[in-house]
Amino acid sequence: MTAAAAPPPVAGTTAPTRSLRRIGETWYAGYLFILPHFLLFLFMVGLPFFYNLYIALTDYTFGGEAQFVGLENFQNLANPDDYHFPVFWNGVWNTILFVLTSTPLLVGAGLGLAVLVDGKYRGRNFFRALFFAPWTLGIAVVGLLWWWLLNSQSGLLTLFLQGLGAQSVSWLTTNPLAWFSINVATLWWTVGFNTIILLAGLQAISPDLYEAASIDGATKWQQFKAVTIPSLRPILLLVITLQVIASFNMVGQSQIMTGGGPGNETRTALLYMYETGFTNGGQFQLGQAAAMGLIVAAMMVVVSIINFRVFRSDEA
Amino acid sequence: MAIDERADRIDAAIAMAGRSVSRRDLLKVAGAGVGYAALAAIISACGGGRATTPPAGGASVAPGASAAPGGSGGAAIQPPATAVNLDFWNPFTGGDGPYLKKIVDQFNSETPNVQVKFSTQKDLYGSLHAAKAANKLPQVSIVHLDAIPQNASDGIFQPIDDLISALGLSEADFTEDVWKNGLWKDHRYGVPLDTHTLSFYWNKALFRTAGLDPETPPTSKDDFVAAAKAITEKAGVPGFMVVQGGGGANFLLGIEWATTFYQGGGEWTNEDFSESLINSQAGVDSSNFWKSLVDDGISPKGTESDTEIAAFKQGKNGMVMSGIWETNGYIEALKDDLGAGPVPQIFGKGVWSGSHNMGITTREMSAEEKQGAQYFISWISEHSLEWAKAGQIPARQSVVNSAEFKALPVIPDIQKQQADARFFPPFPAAGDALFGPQGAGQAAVAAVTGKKDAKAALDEAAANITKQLKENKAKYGF
Repeated sequence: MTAAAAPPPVAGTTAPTRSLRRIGETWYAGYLFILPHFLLFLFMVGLPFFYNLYIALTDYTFGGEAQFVGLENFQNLANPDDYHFPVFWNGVWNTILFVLTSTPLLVGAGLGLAVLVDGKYRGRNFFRALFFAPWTLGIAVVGLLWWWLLNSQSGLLTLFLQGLGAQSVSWLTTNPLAWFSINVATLWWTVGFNTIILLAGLQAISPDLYEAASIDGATKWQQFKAVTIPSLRPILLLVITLQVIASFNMVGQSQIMTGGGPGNETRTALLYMYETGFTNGGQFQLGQAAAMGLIVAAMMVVVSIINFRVFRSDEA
Repeated sequence: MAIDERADRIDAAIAMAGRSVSRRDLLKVAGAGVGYAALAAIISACGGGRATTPPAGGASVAPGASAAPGGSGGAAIQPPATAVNLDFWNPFTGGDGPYLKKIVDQFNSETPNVQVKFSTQKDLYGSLHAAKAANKLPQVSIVHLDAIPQNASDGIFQPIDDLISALGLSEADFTEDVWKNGLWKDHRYGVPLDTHTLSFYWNKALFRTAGLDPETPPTSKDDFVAAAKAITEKAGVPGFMVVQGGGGANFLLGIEWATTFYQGGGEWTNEDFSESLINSQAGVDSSNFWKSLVDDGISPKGTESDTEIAAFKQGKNGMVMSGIWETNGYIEALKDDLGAGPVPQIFGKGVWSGSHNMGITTREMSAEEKQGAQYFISWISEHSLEWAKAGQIPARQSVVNSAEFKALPVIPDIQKQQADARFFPPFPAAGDALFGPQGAGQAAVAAVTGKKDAKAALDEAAANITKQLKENKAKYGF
């Protein structure tokens, strides 16, 4: 009876459902899910990386015939008698200097702004948009904008200071002011990104925690230290890592605002890499530039690993 | 167009920004004179859109009228029998581009069988190298004189000795130094289109205020320093501003440094290009001369690149030495108060110069295409009068000697120093020895700011350039 009432099984309708479920249970399901991104990654990051490795072993210059030169490009950078050596390593030091100054500034200010725009008050969305807006600009715009604000003869700030009877200040042509100016410009440009990420982190913290803390008599500052910071740790790790990488990659601010000067004091490793590989003055030494890029990339990997270790050990 | 209009509203200083940024790009490219190859097209357009129209006398002259008197002419090369299309690349993103385009347009209308597409590349050498890798080179391109060794070695340009001999071109058609330094490994790769020299400009009104004769510009070191002092003291503005920092410092102080270096008898390298000699006595004297203008209070301390140009346009700087491509901007700003002429001989004769050349690339082309390219180059070379209006000195003596050229405003006054024009010697990255991150310009900046002793700074730069020369000798075999 029941058997007669049940519709006869139709092979065509049940089989796909079953096989889909089976795929979900197979070992390769996960791989299928990452496949689209993996293909993108392979062609946009993976292959270029290995091609870069290959170029670094040649004397490729776009034109002419590329000769295999082994590790010569790396040896040049390790040899104090090579003419690339002083400018490149000076550039590495400048890069590290920028990472060390800009990271605390941008993460600290980002956190501060995130807390400020997390409050419940009228117009907070306006401020969120305001702080984030400069991030949408390109580096050429940002660099020129700040150059016109700061240049010592006809910059807006200079004219303002002169109006007040003050001397003009060489914001971009003397150090430490040049580095200070680059840091300020970078802060204005990119702090909004850190702010938005940290704001998302703040909003994910359960209000119960703050409520419990205030019942226990914790002040706002104690709540910030004991609730906010520990809860934000994974997000902070992300923001710091991204910031370190972004700061490592700094090129445009130096190129546009200071031209690498005074002297070579704000010329970063990657700016010199660009000049070596992609300009006539640098003789289009793409092989040499590729080697520089790999060395900087290796440094970034090491720094990122250290970064993760430090935060993990804190958690334990 | 909207960009040009905006440029008119924003003051002259904005126009300058384009050059400042562009120059930084440019000095890495070749260190030569088009002050416009821009980082951002918008900004360069601001800088470039301000060229003045020459007075009617100059404008009414048909460029075609300047056919070479007594020159060998283009008779030896004829347009091809079948129609060809050519691509012609150039780096003139600024106000000078339209002048060259006008000549090309005239060529196209007069030569139905050769149609040339005028294409401006913001980053000419980067684009040429990328095009070479992709097998998409144009047939014809501009190449700076000092960029020839590098780009010929990289297989971008082909020798054009056959064209040179067919046209019967020789040193007598150009100036000595531009011809001599156009030879790379016994071959020629370009026909010089122009020479652009460092040039001397003064503000006649400020000369009068300072009690100087505005029609008698200084020509010697003593006259120059005395005039600069008089203006600084009596006119209340700097008599001369020495660039000491900013993104264009290596370039702007560099071309002044190179001029006094040449004047003192300086040579970039020894005979076989194996050792840098920028730290010779001529180099040290050159650095110290510019430093003395700062130390003696003639130039304000801390002057940033391009501000000397802006101040001169605003009547707040008595004298300035700039690339000749600034001429139109200066005419527009100062009008009748502008004086222009040869750079004073601080230590003797010699003035920094660059040159745009026209070359044929290694792209595979038919016999007709090649013939068309050759005809195009020889035709443009003879019709370069219009190019002078963009603020360049035509390289062909026949054009420079024509009455039409001599009727142009200002440029012929500067052209008087043509015989003293000096160019980079032919080895790869020669311009880098002046403009690069370890070049003489950088050393000069370190000296005038008092950061380093003039000799010590040049010693350091020379040592690095010598290392680079040795590596290049091994690599390129020169």
